[in-house]
Amino acid sequence: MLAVLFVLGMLCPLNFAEIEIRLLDPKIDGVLASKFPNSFLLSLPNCSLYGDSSAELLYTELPSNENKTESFIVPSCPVSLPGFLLKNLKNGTTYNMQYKIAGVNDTSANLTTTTTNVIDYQQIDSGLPARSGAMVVITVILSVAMVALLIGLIISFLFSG
Amino acid sequence: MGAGALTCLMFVVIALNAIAAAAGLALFAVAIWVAVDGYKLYPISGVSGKDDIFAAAWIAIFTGFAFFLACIFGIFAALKRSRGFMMVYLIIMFIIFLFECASAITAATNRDYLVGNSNLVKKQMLQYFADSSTQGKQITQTWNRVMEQVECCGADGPSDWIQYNSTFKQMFGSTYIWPLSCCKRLSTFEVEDKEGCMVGKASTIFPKGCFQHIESVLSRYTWAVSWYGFSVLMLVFFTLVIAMIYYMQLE
Repeated sequence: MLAVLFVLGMLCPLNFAEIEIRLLDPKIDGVLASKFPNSFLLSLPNCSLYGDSSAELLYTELPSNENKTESFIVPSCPVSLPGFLLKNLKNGTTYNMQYKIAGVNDTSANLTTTTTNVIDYQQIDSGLPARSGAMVVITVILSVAMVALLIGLIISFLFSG
Repeated sequence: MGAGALTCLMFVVIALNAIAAAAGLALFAVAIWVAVDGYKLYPISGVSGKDDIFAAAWIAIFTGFAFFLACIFGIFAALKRSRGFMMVYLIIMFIIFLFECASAITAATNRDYLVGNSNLVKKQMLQYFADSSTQGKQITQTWNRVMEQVECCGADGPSDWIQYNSTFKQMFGSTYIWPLSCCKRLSTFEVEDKEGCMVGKASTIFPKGCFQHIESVLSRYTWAVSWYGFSVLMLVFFTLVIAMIYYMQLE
């Protein structure tokens, strides 16, 4: 039984291996972020296996099931860009994505993620956050000093001579 | 009061007035430095209508020089031992004191509105950066210069451009996530790695926010006007108290 499995395993050609597809990780891949409101930063297909081949990224917008395709050439090693930026998406929407290499019919698994939402800048509360200690000290001490001087002036003018 | 004691008091009044004249002249110089705005951050306070730090600096220019002149007059009035002159001196000094108090309090209060936290600066950046109005152009120029020179991006970081809607996103959002001023540059001013920066490669973009620099500059201006003004006022308060005692002893 084990021998049968080994033989079957050896007969499986290597190029039925799946292309890796994932969102880039800010901690590992040296990027700031991978999920944006209108784009995704995805890992590129392996440059040593698929470098210089033409590839397609098929993506589906989930609620409406609209299918779209982005064609590009997989860069050859060494790769300068960290990933593939899929642009012109809608914010707060879920997408299904899959790589496909032309000609060889290698595909990747399906990746499902949601774009982030944006907050409108008008909603930022730009009112006074808090009064600093410096401002309170300066105001109080100077107000007291002004009143003291006024009283002193009146006393010195009235009680002179 | 004996003649000897009165002469001694006169010398004290003259000495304090001389020191206050020098302090007033220094206040004049420091307030000119604030008004000239060497860091060129005025649009950030001007566009939001909260430019009272600079208004306070202009008042301090006037009061600093006025203290200088009035204290010299005070030295003259004390030497002459004249009641009339001392009364004029005391009234003039009190009026200048009131104006300088206004300047110090205004600068300290206004700073809290502007840079208490990063919200106002961030909201202004998101609203006016890349806008084509006059204020938009001023803000765009100011932010571009700050981001390039201080090597920072956004108010709290590049994530400001991702988390919030902005005029920049509406105009250029299909191509750029953040302005190219956020990208590291070579000494020839060319962007080091434009494609990497547009995608967010961490080694090609400035990760820290600009708010810390803006806050430290505006605080520096405020401390120059309000805390130094406060210390000049305390010296002048003490001088005026002694001068009032001297006035009461003159006949």
